[in-house]
Amino acid sequence: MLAPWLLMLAGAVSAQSDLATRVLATDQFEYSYSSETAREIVENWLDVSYLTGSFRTGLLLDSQQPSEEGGRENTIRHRFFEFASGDFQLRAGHFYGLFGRGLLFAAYEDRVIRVDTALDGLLVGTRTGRLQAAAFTGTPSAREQDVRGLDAQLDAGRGWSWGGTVLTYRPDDIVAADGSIHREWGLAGRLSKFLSFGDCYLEYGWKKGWDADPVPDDRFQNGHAFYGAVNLFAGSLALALEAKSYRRFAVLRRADGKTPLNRPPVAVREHIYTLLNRAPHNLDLDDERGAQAELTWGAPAGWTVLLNASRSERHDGTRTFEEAYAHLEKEDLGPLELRSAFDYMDSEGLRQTVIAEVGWHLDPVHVLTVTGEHQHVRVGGGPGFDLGAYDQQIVELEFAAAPRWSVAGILELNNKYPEQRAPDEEEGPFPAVQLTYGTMRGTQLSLWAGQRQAGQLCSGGVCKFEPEFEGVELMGIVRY
Amino acid sequence: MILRAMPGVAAALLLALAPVLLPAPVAAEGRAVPDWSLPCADGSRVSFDEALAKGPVLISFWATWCRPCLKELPHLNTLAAETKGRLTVLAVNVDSSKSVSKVRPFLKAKGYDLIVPLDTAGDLSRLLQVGGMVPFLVIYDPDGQEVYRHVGYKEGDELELQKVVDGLLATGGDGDEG
Repeated sequence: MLAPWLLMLAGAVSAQSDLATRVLATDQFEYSYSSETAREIVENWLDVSYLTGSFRTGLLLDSQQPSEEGGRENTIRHRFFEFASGDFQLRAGHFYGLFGRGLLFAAYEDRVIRVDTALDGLLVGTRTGRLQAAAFTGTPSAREQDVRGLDAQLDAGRGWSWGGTVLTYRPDDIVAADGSIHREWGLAGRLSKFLSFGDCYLEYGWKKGWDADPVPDDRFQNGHAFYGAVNLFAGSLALALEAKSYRRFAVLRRADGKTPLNRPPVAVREHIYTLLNRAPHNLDLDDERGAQAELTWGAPAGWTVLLNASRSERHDGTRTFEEAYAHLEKEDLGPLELRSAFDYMDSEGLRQTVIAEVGWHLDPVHVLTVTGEHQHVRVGGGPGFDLGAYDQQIVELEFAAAPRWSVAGILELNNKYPEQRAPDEEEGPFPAVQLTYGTMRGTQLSLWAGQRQAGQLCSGGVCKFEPEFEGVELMGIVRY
Repeated sequence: MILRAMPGVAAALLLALAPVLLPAPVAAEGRAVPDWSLPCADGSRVSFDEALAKGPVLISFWATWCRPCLKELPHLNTLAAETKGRLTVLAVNVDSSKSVSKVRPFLKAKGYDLIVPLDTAGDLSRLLQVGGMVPFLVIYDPDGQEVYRHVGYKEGDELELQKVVDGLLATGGDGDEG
């Protein structure tokens, strides 16, 4: 399997030995030890790439000893060989990609939520004048299916841009009644326009309704997707509007075992505070529509005001997510900086959250920051029962000594009744400490010890459940 | 609890501290990274080669959902204004397709006058092995040699950055890795 790749590497190195060369290596790791179960998790990703002139080759060594799921392996998960000259690129091996806003094709990696939809195949890209184009053929890691794509985009001038995508894949496990092999097709078209006072982006996608994992009763129906975004500016006032409508539009589900090969925008605000991510919205690519509006005002005297509202629902009108968010901040109030927020969210119960963050600059390199988050959750119930409501809080005190160290103490509390807790959920409190150290060479280490609640880790509408944990974690990224 | 985890923590620490304990690598001749180009938030396009032709280049990766990044941006904006014409500051945004539409409104509201390439597909992040940990900042001298890199942001980090930039500009772009 690796032999052709190694031969290509050797050839490239010898042929280009007179050119500047460089090895880039980055190691990212996570180690955790649970004091409850005495179980260790060791995961390590070593990225190495070798550059010489127009050639680049590399690999990703993935070590799991064991992984979160308990599996043990030590494999070269990715390897590639690439030639790039001017505006031309040819890549053989593993590759990622994004066409438009990802309505039809988005192959990406997110190690935080353990998503990796890389394809193994061939990718060609070029840009000539105002036209750029890319084509690929490849196979995802968890599906033995060939996927082919073609994308072109034209910069039409005067701020206009037009683009289109064709995607096709052949499900190898579906044969029609007449014995013919079907091929799945998808098309998408997009346009964008930039103006001095705003911009807009529109994309529409269509997908032939043959899928290896159909929604019941929708097996032969076509899929549709629409996404639109409009931004308007007036001075320091900015308004961002988004609308979405997705129906039967998951492309090659579980491409990496759990994630589809497309990633349309979710049109829901992505939050930076912990409690606002407790009940995130999971995008339903097969039945979802909605809209989001966000107004940001860079007010005088260094104040910033942000207002956001979003709603998602099924096409029959059933609401699946609703949120209103207000944020106020002042970056420079003498030695202090202030941030506060209020959030109303209808997601797994009605949630009202208040957040306050105060940073105190003790001197130019030492800052003490205290952050408090309080959330009131009205759980509700169903026919014949009501689980009532509870409150939860997180308080974090961080001392940062730039440019190397920071130490933080975190305490989480809640007043849940036993009936409101999940079967294995601890009562709390959940204390933790975290120590972070960074170097000038781009290395960062983070040591965490304590207890934390179960919760969701989310990225771009894709979430991963993290179980409750008590123990020690060491995470880091090391650049050699 | 911590004692039982010590062997694992020690092994991971040893691996992690290797680049700190070992001597700094000698920079190879020639450019550190190949040319790349990306579309910008304002609809224009920027290329690394074009930026490098004007002098040293600072690249900082950030996202709208990253709290430390948002604290670092005002300082980058100030630095870009103070070093205009001598240092090119590229604030590379790594928001995914989910939130990239909010990047330009954010910049407009904040009044930042930065060049903001959009790495929505993550191509540049992979080329420079950012590894998803932002903010990540790297500075290249006019020869394309990397002279400084830093991950994360704490208030006061900008002082070290200013020192590195001042040193780089004072020597006509021939800085040393710290």
